[in-house]
Amino acid sequence: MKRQLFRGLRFRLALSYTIFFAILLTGFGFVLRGMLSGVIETTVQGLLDEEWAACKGFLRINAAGALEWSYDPNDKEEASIVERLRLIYMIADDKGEVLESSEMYREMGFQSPAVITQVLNDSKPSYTYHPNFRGQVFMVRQGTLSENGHQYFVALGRNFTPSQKVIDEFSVDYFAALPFFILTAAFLGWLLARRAMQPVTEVAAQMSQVSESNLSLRVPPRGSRDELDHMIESFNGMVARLEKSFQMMRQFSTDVSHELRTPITVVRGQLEVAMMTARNEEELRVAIEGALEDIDRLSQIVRALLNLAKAESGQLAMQFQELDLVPLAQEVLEELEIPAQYRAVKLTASLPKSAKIMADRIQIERLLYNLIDNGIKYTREAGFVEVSLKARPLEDTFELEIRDNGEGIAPEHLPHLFDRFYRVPMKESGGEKGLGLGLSFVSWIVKAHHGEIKVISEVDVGTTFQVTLPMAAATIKQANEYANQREIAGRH
Amino acid sequence: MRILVVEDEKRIADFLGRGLESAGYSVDIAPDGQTALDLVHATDYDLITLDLMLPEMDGMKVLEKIRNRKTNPPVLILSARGAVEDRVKGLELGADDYLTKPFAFVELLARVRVLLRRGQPTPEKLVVGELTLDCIRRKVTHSGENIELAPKEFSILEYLMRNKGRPLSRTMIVENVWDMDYDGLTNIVDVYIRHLRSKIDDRYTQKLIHTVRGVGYMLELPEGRADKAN
Repeated sequence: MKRQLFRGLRFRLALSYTIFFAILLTGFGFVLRGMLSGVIETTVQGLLDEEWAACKGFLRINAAGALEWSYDPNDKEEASIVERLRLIYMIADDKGEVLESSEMYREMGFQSPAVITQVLNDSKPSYTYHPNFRGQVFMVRQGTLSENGHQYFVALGRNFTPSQKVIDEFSVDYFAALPFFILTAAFLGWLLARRAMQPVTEVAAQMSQVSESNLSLRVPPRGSRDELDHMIESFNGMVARLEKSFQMMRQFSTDVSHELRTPITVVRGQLEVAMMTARNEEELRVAIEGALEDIDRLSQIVRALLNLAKAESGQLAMQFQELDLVPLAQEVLEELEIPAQYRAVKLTASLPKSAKIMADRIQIERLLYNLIDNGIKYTREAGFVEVSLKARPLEDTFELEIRDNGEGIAPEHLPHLFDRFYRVPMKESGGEKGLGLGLSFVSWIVKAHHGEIKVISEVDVGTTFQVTLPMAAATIKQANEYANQREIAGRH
Repeated sequence: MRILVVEDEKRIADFLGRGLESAGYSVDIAPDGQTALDLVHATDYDLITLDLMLPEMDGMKVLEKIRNRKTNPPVLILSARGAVEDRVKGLELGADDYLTKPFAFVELLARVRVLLRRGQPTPEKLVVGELTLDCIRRKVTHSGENIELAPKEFSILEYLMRNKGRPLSRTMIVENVWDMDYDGLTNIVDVYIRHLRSKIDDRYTQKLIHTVRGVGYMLELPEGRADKAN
């Protein structure tokens, strides 16, 4: 629980809230402080400007540089103004020579002649801060007074310490209260995070109900069309896909065990019954031969299954290379000549000059062999199997067709034709039963080559397998050449 | 005794027919459901073995139709579908026993023998030689002496005595006494048989419980082997 507390999304969410608030409030504090000191500064500067205006009214400097404060001493108001003006001030000539200054100004020290010269050259007055040895800070207005063609440097000061104190007090109060704000934010963040995480927790609880044994369970969407609903949808989609592959696996193992059980039953039963009933060696021999045949069939099934499983789990290393279908098809046709003759099946082929695709030679050979062999097996006695290969330049593909005139496949069986172990029930029993794995392998091979396979079948007319395979990139360029391909007649 | 074998796989039907005939039964074979129903209609069978995966008509359907008829021979399902659900479904539909392929032929034979005995009235008291078992008061005596048996020991002995003279496989004993099929329990049968023997056979000269090689156990009087075939 503790681990969850500090690593959990809720904690992280609350933490980011808190950090965000802390940064925001701190920044806000600095901005406020800046604004406050700005206002205060402007106010003090305004006061100094007023004093300057007064100063200009009362201060007279004659040509010799002698100062004179001209006011009516009897006017109490005037007297007090001048007195206040003369509390913190300093006047210097253009050489930086101090002409007059007050006690309090002296405590701060005078400006250097360089500063004085600079101020005299400036058209605008400037404001600076000057501390004295008592720790007080004064704001000083440095300005220029022109009198009788001479320029004089006049600095007026005002105690800034009380204003500074206001700013400082504000800062202390604000930043002292800050931790409290942040704590509150953290607490609120924690609560808000719980609110935000509540649906997630609920959905997670529902999701954890879905397990291997009840993959049919789905998490109902909350109907709010938000991110969480989106997640629920993807989760349900994933579970659906899992369920499907689990079902396929289960079906597969059921099929496999069924397929293996029958031959094992036959082998076992045959041998057992032979042991009980055989009267001579010959009868035992017959039983053993029968058993060996079944064991052959069993190992065939196992081999085919292993191949298919390898292929479907991606363990079959495919070597794609440019491959000409035509000579390969001719080879396979030649090989199947004997089984075709055995059933008196007419095997014909119509092939172009060449048909280059990117393919794995072994797998394509297997595909051709399987489909043509199937045709020979399932066409009618003395029927035909036609193999044709055509370029479809518009689609950049080759189309391979294997057509027979067998008894055809009823429509209800067509969708299952490529399923493992699916065998179409035969009208006439006694025929050699296939393993029911060939077509499922063929379909895998076609898929692995980015092709397509289709079956067209009509009962009592025949069946056609149509395989489309993409042309090799090089052959696409020469597509036009194939447009007027020359068909080579089959050997029959 | 006439048995109908419903099985589409020719070679399985073949050895079943030969094996059962050699055990003294007359056998008919039906390769599909319709043939099976026709045969059941025409003949009174004492037992039917039924494959579930049949072309066209499923074995379960065949079973339903057989059960709807008046004559009601016991049905033994032989199926490559070994899942518990299939088994339960088959038994619910009225099959009397269920055997999963691949099976041992002797096991099949043992089950056939037990099924054929069914329908005969079960007596309240089972007596084999000096051994008497009272089914109602659940008491066992040997030569007049009381024998104390644990409940499972009693059930096994009852099952053996009811099927006196017929070999019973370990699996059959497990299915009957423990009411389930569980391969892991077959060893425990040997343990219980050992206990039973120490209580019933060891102290007496007349040994009743016999081991049948390749099958399991059988209870019979040493001289009473004549009725074995049935």
